[in-house]
Order: sequence, then structure tokens, then C-alpha cells
Amino acid sequence: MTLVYDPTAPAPGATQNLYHRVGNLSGKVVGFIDNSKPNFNFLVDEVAELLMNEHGVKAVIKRAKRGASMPATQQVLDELAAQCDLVVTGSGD
Amino acid sequence: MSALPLNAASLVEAPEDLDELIEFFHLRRWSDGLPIVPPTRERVQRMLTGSRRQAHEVVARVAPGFGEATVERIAINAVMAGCRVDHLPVLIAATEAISDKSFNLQGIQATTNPVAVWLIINGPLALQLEVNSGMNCLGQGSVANATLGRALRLIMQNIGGALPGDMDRATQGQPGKFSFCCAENEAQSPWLPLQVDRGFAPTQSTVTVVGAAGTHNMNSHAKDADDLIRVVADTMAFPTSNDYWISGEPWIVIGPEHAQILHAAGLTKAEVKQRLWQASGLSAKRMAKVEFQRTHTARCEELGAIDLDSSLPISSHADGVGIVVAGGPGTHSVYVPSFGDTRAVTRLIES
Amino acid sequence: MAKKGLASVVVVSNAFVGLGKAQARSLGHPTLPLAVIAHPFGSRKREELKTVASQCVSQIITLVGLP
Repeated sequence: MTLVYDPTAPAPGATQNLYHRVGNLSGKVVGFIDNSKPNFNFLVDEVAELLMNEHGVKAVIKRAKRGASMPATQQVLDELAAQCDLVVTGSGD
Repeated sequence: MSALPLNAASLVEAPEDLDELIEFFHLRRWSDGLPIVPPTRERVQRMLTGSRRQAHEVVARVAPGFGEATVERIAINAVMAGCRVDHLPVLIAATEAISDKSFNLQGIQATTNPVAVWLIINGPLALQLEVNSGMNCLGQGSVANATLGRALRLIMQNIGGALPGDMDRATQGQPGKFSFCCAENEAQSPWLPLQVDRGFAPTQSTVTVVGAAGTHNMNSHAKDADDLIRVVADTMAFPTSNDYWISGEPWIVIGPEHAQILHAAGLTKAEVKQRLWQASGLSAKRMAKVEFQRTHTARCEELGAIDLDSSLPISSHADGVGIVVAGGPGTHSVYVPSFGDTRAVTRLIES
Repeated sequence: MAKKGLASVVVVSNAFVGLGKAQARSLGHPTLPLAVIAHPFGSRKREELKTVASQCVSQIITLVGLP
């Protein structure tokens, strides 16, 4: 046997739990970030309608990113963080 | 001997036999599919003498896995790719450059698009390292061109964690993802070199990284500048390009003969960019309907109201058209469309 | 969003689940909830999206909507 270097780098160690439950959706506000991929705007419309009509969601806020590979603006993030109980976004095709 | 820092690369036991060792790297998906040079302690130590930086200094965190690119890990991947010791500073600068926010490495690594990172080397180091800028500069045959691009790909795959089919979601990819590297042919360019356009001195050596979606040969025997600009601009405008829908940054590798024609007509590089930008507008109706919708969303702030009769500019301003002079004799230039949502980044190479 | 303590769900098509999971893990957020829809999504007809939306809502409720 011989010794060689492992060329990879471990993923950053620290982890953070990002799993937060919102509980019963009745009376809650749901935000959407549309990633501007084809059809996602329509899916957002359909999901929003179902959440309001069948699950008692009080209001929805829809915002869009300029393109899928770009982050949402800080303004949009702050606005949704301040007003929503749940945020739904899309990734990939 | 002092204890190794936590980010020191680990040594692993591997087979002595070269064929078996190469298979060991393939099985772990640590290679690009080609045989590697074993990164032994001795070879990596020797590679590290190519830079004055400390081995465990963190150069960048590489998206999308955000692994730490230490000088040592860059050196390991450089050894594997077959780089020479004096190539290391180029790779350190290139790793810094791809990690600049405006390059959007996250998007480039994880996209379904075929995006290669093109390295353009400028300045005296390009000559010293024998980076080919002349005949076949985007092809095979030069150690520097072949191994620098390959090493950067290994860095992006091994340190950045973008393995094909996993985090690298490319639908087909492209051959430039093995290596895509050349120097500017400064000696035969009628204009100031690229690094000067980008704020550096002619005596400084730089690496510029470009998120390139391919290479397209432009063969034209045009003898006058107007004719040449017209056919180049016409080639730039295609409806499935990423540059138009998001305001991109396309590049032209102008062959020295074409550059002479433009120069002889009295055109500066800035004027060539302006003329190409003006002539390369894409008629919006050539796009698929859904692409036009996407363009509308992405560019409404920049362009205001647009409709199917609009002519869409390829980038938000003429300087968004990148120009580099490279290649040997012949009537060819190369169109390099970009990923769109990316901006080229230039970094000084420490020597 | 989730970092601010807000409940969040990322919608991905099944061709992109691997990327979503690997990316979340790399960023130190292995528990980020993903709602998975069928690929290819972008080319689906408008009327098919009602079914996709209904599947998506069920997952959102299971992931974050139950107490």
C-alpha cells in the first residue's frame, strides 16, 4: 500500500435545524417565491387557491425572483419574513 | 512537530500498483474519467513550493458543496491533473475568481446548462508558463492549457462537490468541462490586452474566468470590417441563447487576421464591442413563447415595456460583449455564448 | 427564511431531489423540508397542474402543517 491525499473537502461541519412546523394552517399567511421557471407561477396560483379554499389559509403573498439561478432580493425576504407564517419556494426544473 | 490544523487534507491508503491506484480514484469518483497522477506526499509537497502561501490557508469555499479550498487541496488536485509546480499560483487565483459572487458558481455548477469555466491567461506569466495563445489554443497539445483547465475542473468537482448526475445537473455538459484554457495572443493583437481593459497593468499577469456555454466556429473570409461585423453579430443572435433572456455577457475570440481587418478600418476594441452590440439585437418573436415570458420577467426593469416586435440587446451595455484576441493564422473567430447569469472575473496571479 | 425561524418548504421535481438534499446538507441544513413533484414539470399542460398542486399541498401539510 501507499499513502495518497484525499482530494475532496468535507462539507462544512456546523448544522442548523431548519425544520419548523407551522401547525394548523387555518388563519395563517403563506408566502410564495416564484423562481420564474416555466409553469411555477401557475403551480403557485393553484396551490394558493387550494390552501385558501380548503385549508383556511387567511392570505397569500406572491413574489418572484428575476431568474432561477438568482437569489430573491433582501427586500422580498424581509417582507415575507415579517408577514408570513410559512414560505414556499421552488428549486430546479 | 506541531499538530496539523483541522482543515489539513487526509492521507489515505491506496494500492501501490499504478493501474490499481488509478482505478481506486475512479471508484471514489475523485477523477474526471481520465487517469490521474497520484497525489503522494512528495508530489504535493513539491507542488506547494510553487506558492508562497501557507498550505492550510483557505483560498475560498467552493459552491455548491462549499468545501474549503485550502492551498493544499488546490495543490493536490493540481498534481492529479498533471500540472507543473509553477502552475499553482494560477489555480489559486482562478479558485478565488470562480468564488467571486458575481461569477455565480452556484448556478454554473448545479445548472442543467452545459457550462465550462474558461480560463484566459494574460501578461508575462502566460509566456513563461507556455500557455498556448496561438494555433489550436483551444485544442489539445499544450501542457498548460490541458492541465490548468483540468485541475480547475477537479477542484470544482472534488472541493466544490459537483459530481455529474448528483449536484452537477448538466443535461449533456460539453467537452470544455474537461479543460478550457488559453492565453490571449497579446503579441498579435492590435489592441491593449484584456487585463488592461479590466484595470491591471500590462506587466501584471492575470487569470480571467468566464462561464462559457460552448464554442462556435465563425469562418469568414470577409475582407472589410463592416462585412465581418455583420456576420459575427448575426451568429451571436440565436433564439435559444441564455444571453438574451437574462442580459448576459457573451465573448468573442477574435482570430488575429480578423482583428487586423477591424483594426485596419480604424476601429478600437470599444468600437468593435459597440458595433457588435448594436448589430446583434434578437427579434423577440424568434424566441419560444415561454422564453419570451421569462425574458419579460427577467429584463422588464432594464428594458421597460417589451413585446414580440422588440429587438432584444444581448447584454445591458456594449461593454458586456467580451473580446479576446487568440489563435493562429486563418479566417476564424470563435463565438463563446455565456451561461447568461454570470459575469467574468479577473484576478491577479501572484508570482 | 427558515433561518429566521419561519416554516419553509422547497418545491422540487423528482429529478432535482438529489441536488436539493445534497445542497441543503452542504449548507448545513439537512432537515430543510422538500415537497417533491413529478419531473418534467415545466412542460406540463396547464390543466395537469391542478393535480400536481393538490399533491404539493398534501405534502406541505404533512411536512409542516400538522401539529
